[in-house]
Amino acid sequence: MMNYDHIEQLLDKYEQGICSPEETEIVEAFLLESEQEIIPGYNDFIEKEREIISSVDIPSLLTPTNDMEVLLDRYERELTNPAETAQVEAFLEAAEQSMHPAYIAFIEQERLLQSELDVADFVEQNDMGPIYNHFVEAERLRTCSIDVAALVASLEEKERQKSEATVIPMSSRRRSWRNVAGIAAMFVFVLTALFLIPDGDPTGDESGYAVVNGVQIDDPEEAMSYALAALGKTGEKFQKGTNNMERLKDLKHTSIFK
Amino acid sequence: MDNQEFTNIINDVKDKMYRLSYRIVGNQFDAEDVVQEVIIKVWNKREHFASIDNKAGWCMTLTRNLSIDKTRSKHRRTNDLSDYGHLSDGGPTPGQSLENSDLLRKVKELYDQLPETQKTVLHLRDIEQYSYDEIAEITGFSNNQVKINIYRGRQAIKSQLEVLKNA
Repeated sequence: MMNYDHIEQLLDKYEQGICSPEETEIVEAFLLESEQEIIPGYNDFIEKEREIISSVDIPSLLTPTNDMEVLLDRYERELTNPAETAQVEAFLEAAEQSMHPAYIAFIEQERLLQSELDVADFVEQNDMGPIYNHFVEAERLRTCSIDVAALVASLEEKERQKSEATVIPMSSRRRSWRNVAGIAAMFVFVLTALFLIPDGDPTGDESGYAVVNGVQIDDPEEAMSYALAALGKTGEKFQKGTNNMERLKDLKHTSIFK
Repeated sequence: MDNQEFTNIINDVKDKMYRLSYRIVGNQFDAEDVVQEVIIKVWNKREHFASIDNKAGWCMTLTRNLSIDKTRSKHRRTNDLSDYGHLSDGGPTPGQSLENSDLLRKVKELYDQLPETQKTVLHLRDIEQYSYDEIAEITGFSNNQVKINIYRGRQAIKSQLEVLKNA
């Protein structure tokens, strides 16, 4: 048994951390003995205190984001305690209630089906009675009269014919249409020329290059100069006409077009 | 896929296709039309068809869809008058055969009164003996929906048969 005469002073020194090894040994022995000392009222109190369970719901303090994910993982692996399980289930229920009404209706229906399945006294085919069984037997005797081999052969033949058919590409089809149209146009043109264009000069004189004011010009150069002069006059008249047309542009500034 | 293989696959499933279509469209002419249409469609897509695992199931799905289209396009369902002609020689006596045909016709009427979904899944289950999973694959329903439709269809027919029996 140790001597604890100066224990108060030693406790102070122990608190301040300035005890020698021997003094530390004395203090720790004292503390151990005092811990093991039976104090009837106090020990009962301690026991009672230990029986009290914390009412603080730790899982509910967790944030509903990442921590809930952790909880859900644990729940999936069946590692949650009862409080956590209750929390996860409440969370899942809340999540379910926030779903679209159509989805909730579907879930309700599925639950109804499941409950019906659970309680259903399943009617087996054998319980249906002889009439029904006779009906089933009769139905099984129905057969299809289609000759599959013949149908397949006809499908194959059709396919073969389709692949053998000469298919003219669209572009060449267009081209051939154009060729035909071109030839037809040429014929029409030639026939029109044959019937409508008179054979030579109505006077019957087919010599000479041009006729100017009733006078026949036999010299080709002279005929050419007359032709150029005529063309020049035509050009001048055309130019004159277009110049007048230019004035029409100014009309857009008038009130007519406003 | 060569022609022989194609023909064999279709031959294996054509009666089932026909019966399913008959169940939906209600008469043999439209049912055969649908089956022929399905065969032509499958033929035209035979390259894709070759890559499908459950070829019969695919044909059945196509048959169901085209049959529904057929009834929609006609706006009505036309039923055969002599539904059980294929059984006419089956009865021991003419009277019995007639009675059987009458009973069968009554059950068929009850069947026809079911909604299309119940009718189809019940047909696939009871007559074609497909599994729930196969029916789900053909119809696109969930397994539970298949079970429930079969249950409801059978219940409806059973209760009506009870009424007929007690009448």
